[in-house]
Amino acid sequence: MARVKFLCDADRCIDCNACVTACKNANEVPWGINRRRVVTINDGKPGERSVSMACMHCTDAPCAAVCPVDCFFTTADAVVLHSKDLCIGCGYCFYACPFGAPQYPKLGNFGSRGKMDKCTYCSGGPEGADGSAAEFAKYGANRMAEGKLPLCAEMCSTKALLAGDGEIIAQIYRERVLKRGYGSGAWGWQTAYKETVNV
Amino acid sequence: MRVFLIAVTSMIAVAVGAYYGLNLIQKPADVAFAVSGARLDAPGQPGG
Amino acid sequence: MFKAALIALLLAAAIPTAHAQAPSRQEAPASGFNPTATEVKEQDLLNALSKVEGRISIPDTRAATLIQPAGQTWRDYRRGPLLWITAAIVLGMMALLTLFYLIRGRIRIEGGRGTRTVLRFGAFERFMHWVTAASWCVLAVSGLNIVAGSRVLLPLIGQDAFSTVSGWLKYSHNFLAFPFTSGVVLMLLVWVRHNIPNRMDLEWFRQGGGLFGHRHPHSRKFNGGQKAVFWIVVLGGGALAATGFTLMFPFYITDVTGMQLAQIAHGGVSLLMIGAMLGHIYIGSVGMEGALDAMNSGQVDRKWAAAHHDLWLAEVDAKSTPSGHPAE
Ligand code: HEM
Ligand code: SF4
Ligand code: SF4
Repeated sequence: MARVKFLCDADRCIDCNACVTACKNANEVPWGINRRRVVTINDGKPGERSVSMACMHCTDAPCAAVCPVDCFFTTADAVVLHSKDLCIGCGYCFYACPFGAPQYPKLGNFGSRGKMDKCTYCSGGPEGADGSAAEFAKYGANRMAEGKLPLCAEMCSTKALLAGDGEIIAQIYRERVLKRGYGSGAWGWQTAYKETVNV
Repeated sequence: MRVFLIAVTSMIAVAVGAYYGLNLIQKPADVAFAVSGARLDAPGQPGG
Repeated sequence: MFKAALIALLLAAAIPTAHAQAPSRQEAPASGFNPTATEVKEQDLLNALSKVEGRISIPDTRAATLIQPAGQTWRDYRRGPLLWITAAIVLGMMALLTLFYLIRGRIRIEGGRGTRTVLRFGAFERFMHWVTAASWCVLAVSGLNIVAGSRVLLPLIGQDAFSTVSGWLKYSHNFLAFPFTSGVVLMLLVWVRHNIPNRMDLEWFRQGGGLFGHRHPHSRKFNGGQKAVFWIVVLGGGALAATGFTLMFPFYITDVTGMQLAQIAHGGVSLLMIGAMLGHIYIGSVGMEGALDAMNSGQVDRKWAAAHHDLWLAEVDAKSTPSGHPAE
């Protein structure tokens, strides 16, 4: 199967937050939890760029390596999923994650942060039961099981956010950069996948 | 032995007290990350 | 002259190749405006600040950190060195104590126990000791479970059971931190006046604390070794409380980098303390006859006291009324 990835073309992203809204709605993400967010670098200065970021589904995922109860699973598509049944809400995955992806239903003291929540690449949970109501309530949508890509990328108004087979989206990005003549690179790729998109 | 048991009992009492004390200052994410005037309904109720 | 010519030659050689390699993106973009001239570059930001931060439109300020590759360094520390250090300290200390036991055996009261005892620790002293000690033991076990439980306990009991156990251990670690800290503060207040290091302690250490020979260096209420234990508990416990409460209230006082450092410091200090305390537990129980009485009933054998705390025994005797403690 393919190795799926996200790629945000920062030269196209206009900080419209359509991806954030799409994610919230598709997965019924509770208030206060952001599986996806848009960060604007050098806001208001020349050369400002916005990047939409969620879980990058890293190669050798740091969150999985530090989890004290080992509750992470990697799917055949290389999507990093975690079990909310096993998670003890310790918060270590947030310290390890280079992209700030893990979210918790409670703040405050360590003992009771609740079950971690993060982007599932619209792949539901690791327990199987694809598309069931129980899976939806716990993890959100399972669009991948229906053969659809994550809704954030599908709804991106400028097609800045790309999701899909890493090779294919890298090729799309490469062609764009060649055509328009510039590109600030695939943000986060070096950190998440130890490779960049060379143009 | 008696002092030991008293010590363990009070240790548990302090820990349980801490649990309830900390729960008072615990905030769910929907309250902690709320901005005023953004919602029409009670926080934490998706779609509600 | 020759050098200048060489440079000119090299430059001349370099220019055409640079042209040949120039990718087509160097050509002016269709709009005539080239954003690459000013735009922010991920690698530049990472080089300059080691993380990429920006502006967000949600109230959770932690989300403003876009990329922090240090998380991977933290991961590498936790799954590498941390595990080795933990194993070395815990297993190494246990092996050392076993070896010591095999060589030296139990340190006996010379000539066997006597019949008369003397009060060494009052009820309150024993109470604060056991509050601290009992909570410390649970803290140590639950802390070690966080570090290595998934490699030690998980394979034995399976994921579901391990997650349940770890959940409870995590709660106990968090909430027993409060009695532990209270116990350390009480011990500091009650015992500090007996634990000021002095010249006698140097002599005590020079004689190896009487651990190896049959001679017993002079000592008042606490000998050099016990003073060391006291300060390890007070300073180590204080450091653990400081870093531990930082971890327990995540992001109240520091950012993600600070949380990683607090974690490393907390784990490191706790391992040092675990090593030291294993020694303390050994000598207070199986290692030495008569030592546990001091914290159990509070009454110790007078012969034990005379051997290990001669000056303290003399002070106690001098203070007590002749009727309470008849002369020997
Ligand atoms: C004094 C108060 C203490 C506080 C507030 C405290 C708090 C914490 C917190 C919040 C954590 C994160 C994991 C978790 O919540 O389970 C932790 C981890 C840990 N604690 Fe403590 N702790 C304290 C004392 C101790 C003591 C006395 C020991 C050992 C003797 C200890 C050993 C550990 C270890 C080994 C870890 C795991 C470190 C790591 O994952 O790198 N702690 N502590
Ligand atoms: S982005 Fe964060 S949460 Fe997602 S796989 Fe990587 S480390 Fe884990
Ligand atoms: S919060 Fe949950 S998923 Fe994250 S490291 Fe802790 S136990 Fe694992």
